[in-house]
Amino acid sequence: MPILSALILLTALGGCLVLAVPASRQGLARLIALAAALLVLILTVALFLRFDSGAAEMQFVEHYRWIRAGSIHIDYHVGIDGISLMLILLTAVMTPLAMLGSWKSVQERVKPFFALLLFLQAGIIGVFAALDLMLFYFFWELTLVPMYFLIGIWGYERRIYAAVKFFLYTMAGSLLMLAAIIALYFFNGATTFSLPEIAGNVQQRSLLLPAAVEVPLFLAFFLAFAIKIPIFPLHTWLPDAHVEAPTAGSVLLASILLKMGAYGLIRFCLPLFPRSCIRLAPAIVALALIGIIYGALVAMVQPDLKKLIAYSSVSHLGFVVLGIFSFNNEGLMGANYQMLTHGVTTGALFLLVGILYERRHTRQISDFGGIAHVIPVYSSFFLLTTLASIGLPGLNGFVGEWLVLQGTFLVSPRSAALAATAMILSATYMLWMYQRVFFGNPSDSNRRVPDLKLREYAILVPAAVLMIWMGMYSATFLRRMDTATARIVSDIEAVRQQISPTIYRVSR
Amino acid sequence: MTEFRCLIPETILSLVACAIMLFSPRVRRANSTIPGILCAAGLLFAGGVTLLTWNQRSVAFAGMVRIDEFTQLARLLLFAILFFVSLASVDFLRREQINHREFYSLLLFAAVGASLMVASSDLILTFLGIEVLSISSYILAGFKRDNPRCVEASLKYFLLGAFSTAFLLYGVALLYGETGSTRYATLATRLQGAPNALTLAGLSFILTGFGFKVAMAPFHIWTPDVYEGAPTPISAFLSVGSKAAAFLALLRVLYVALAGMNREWSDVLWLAAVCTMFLGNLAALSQSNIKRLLAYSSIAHAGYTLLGLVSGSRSGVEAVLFYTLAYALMNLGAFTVVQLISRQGDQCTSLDDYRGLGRQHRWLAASLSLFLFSLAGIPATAGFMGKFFLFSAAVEQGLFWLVILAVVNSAVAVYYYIRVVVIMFMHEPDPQQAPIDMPAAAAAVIAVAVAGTLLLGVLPGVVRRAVEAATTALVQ
Repeated sequence: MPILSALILLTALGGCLVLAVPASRQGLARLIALAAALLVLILTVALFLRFDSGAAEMQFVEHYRWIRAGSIHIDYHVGIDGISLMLILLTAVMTPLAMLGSWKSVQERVKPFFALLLFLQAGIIGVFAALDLMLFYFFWELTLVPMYFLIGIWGYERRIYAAVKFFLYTMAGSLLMLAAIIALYFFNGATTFSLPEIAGNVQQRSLLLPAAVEVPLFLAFFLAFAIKIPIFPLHTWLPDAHVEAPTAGSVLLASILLKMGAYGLIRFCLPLFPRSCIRLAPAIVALALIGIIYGALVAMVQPDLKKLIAYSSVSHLGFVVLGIFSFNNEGLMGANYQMLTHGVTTGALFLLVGILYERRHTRQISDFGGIAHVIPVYSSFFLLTTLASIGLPGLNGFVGEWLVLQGTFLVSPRSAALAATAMILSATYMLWMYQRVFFGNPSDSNRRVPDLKLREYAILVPAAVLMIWMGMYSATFLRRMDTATARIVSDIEAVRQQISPTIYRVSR
Repeated sequence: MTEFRCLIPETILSLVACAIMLFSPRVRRANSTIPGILCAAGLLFAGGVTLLTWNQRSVAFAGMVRIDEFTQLARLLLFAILFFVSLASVDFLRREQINHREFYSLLLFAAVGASLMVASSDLILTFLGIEVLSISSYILAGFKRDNPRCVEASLKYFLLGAFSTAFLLYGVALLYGETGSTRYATLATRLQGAPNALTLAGLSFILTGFGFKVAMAPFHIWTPDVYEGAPTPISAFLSVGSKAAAFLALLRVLYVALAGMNREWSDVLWLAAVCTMFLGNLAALSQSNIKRLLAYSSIAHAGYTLLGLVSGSRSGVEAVLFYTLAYALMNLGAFTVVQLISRQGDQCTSLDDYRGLGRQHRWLAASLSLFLFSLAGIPATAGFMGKFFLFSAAVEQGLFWLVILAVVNSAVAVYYYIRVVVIMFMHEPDPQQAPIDMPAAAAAVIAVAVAGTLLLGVLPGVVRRAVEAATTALVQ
């Protein structure tokens, strides 16, 4: 059964179905959207269970001819390994939660809102499953359009500015990537856009580009991904987009869209341009470190809850980049895991802020205070998520950051030390924020805030379970990513030995 | 007599055009649709004949006319464009109370001219085709005689157009002076080797003449004024039909007649492509009128199309053919939406008139967004595939810098396209606006354009065989 295509099609059809509901039945539209998202989740869990974590090859592969025109050969080629599997699972989990998060707050134009969420999900699954460079680019760009509308139509005051900025930043980066994809195609002999084939040629040195060609191509890919992650100094679209987006938009943006950038680095940059990656790693690591510390410092002084979380994302995603460019098992595994944990934790934080916003219509930290007494259950969930975000051992955030630090330490203890300071900083800004929002004496306007409702339990309980599960028993998830990670690392290790066998550093 | 077989479609169109002129005075009613229907039927018939004689390959009139797959594909494309323009015009003319039958005759004569241009294999016939097309267009551009802007557009177009065709003719004369012939085949054999001053001057004058028609910088200045002032269906025709005819005829001139001067013209066009893209896109950024915005966008798209010409290869020709098709679909669609929104008097073309359109006219706004996304080059649209083929053709020939500049331009262009989308979907509507009529014919044109834009964006292979056959016929 072509399960990956089924996932993509099902999601997209769900979106069309939502659009087809008569305008007067908005409740029905919501329910259909949620049902579609849950169906996708069930299918994805089936995918997760049927996945063979020992196999080195891509699984659930589907390969059809798609476009043949002159010298152009584009295929519909999808398949997943452990890394893409986990990200698809993350998407499938977060989308229904995001829908529930905007269930009540979106009252206008309900149908297109939920349809766009489903179209967005279809695009994202496509991105994580595509194995053909052009197919990947198709889905990559297609995620842009729904997100643009989600921010621009249902966002807050400065939504138009944020939506346009988001669109232009991403588009500028990805157009250069398109040019690089085309160039790579012709350098590889104009026969295929298939990622495994081109990567195989790179690995066997039958496609050996001179540095003057490889580095610009690498930079074009890297720029597209770096904007999406985002890596300092390309992050400025992120706080705007996060703050202005409706809750569901922020959740999907933080949980999944940012991961597309990091995924792109792992899936495309490392196998296609290993030499450039190794050569430019010091500079990229430096940018990642700046991002980690800068994001944390800026987060500390934010008066707006969403902006604070947005900047904390810049910091957390810096860890992902750091892990990827340590080129060892620990680092890459940590990066993968950090993507998942950040997805769950930050998604949960945005959902929590959304719940609070629905009650008080403000996100300014200074407007709150003392609400721990008023809404104790909500506050407990918030505390759990805060601790997970800080990286408290036993919760999910710890595993990823610890692995990344370990991987980085093997390569460069100094970088690891610098990155570790961010864990202290993150404790500072998160706990300080928690103190200002939840402790103290509640002001009059905060005294009558109601606590969680059933729908909100339905959002927060799964997130909390995941945070604890991923922290306590990470093996469920790590095990399935082992083979894929090891393979990527060994490939790049082989290239490193070709380049400089003498200064090869023993990392274990 | 058998040679006339090659020109059956043109003959049909001319006869229908004359019939409309001669017989429809008998129809007294001012808002009669009969001339429009006749015109559309004539185009359909001509297209059908072209399809039936698809495989006909012949050279007629002592080598002046050449019918092959390239000609047939170009004719089909042009007839289809004109067909949709005439459909969209029917209700427009009645709405604007300028329902004169001459409109349709002129449209048909323009089709004859365009068709002769692409069938021509002799510079003189090419020139004649351009003139037939141009003179009809000059009149059509000023068809609202009582509207000063419209008359201004027509006059501007006429003066500059006459000037540029003079250049073209002079170029033809210079090449004739050097080679003693105006036949493409003879030119091709006699223009081998290093060019001299005479041939270089001839080449640049010819490029000037065509450059004016396709709105290539620095001969693009007329475009925004004329598109803005002309009746909207005619703006659509100028930006799509007239441009497509010129590009297709230029392909044959450059790839067949002037193939020997490949290095010279590709250098010139390289520079022209870059200037055209930048001037078009940068000027479009600050437009507040949708017709001017689309005019500058069409200048920029001429720049992208030039990429295919510059690459000078088979894939270049294929890319230009595909792009012309894609561009015709999305721009025709966009202009038809603009025509509906412009309301009575063809007045509401400011971007402010698009505020909140997504609220009031969901489908109209959604279709226009699709066309704009396609023009911007977002995947799953014809515009993206077209751009992709153009860029690929250029990269294949090692034109990296040209592609990088084109990519930068595409990124700039995204801004002004999505600005319109922002205005339609993210601003509140103005409750004072008059309602929009949705005549069935125009709605059908939009629906076809939407379907085509999506189809070519997802399955560009559907036109592959036709495009490859046409390319083979041209390049050989």
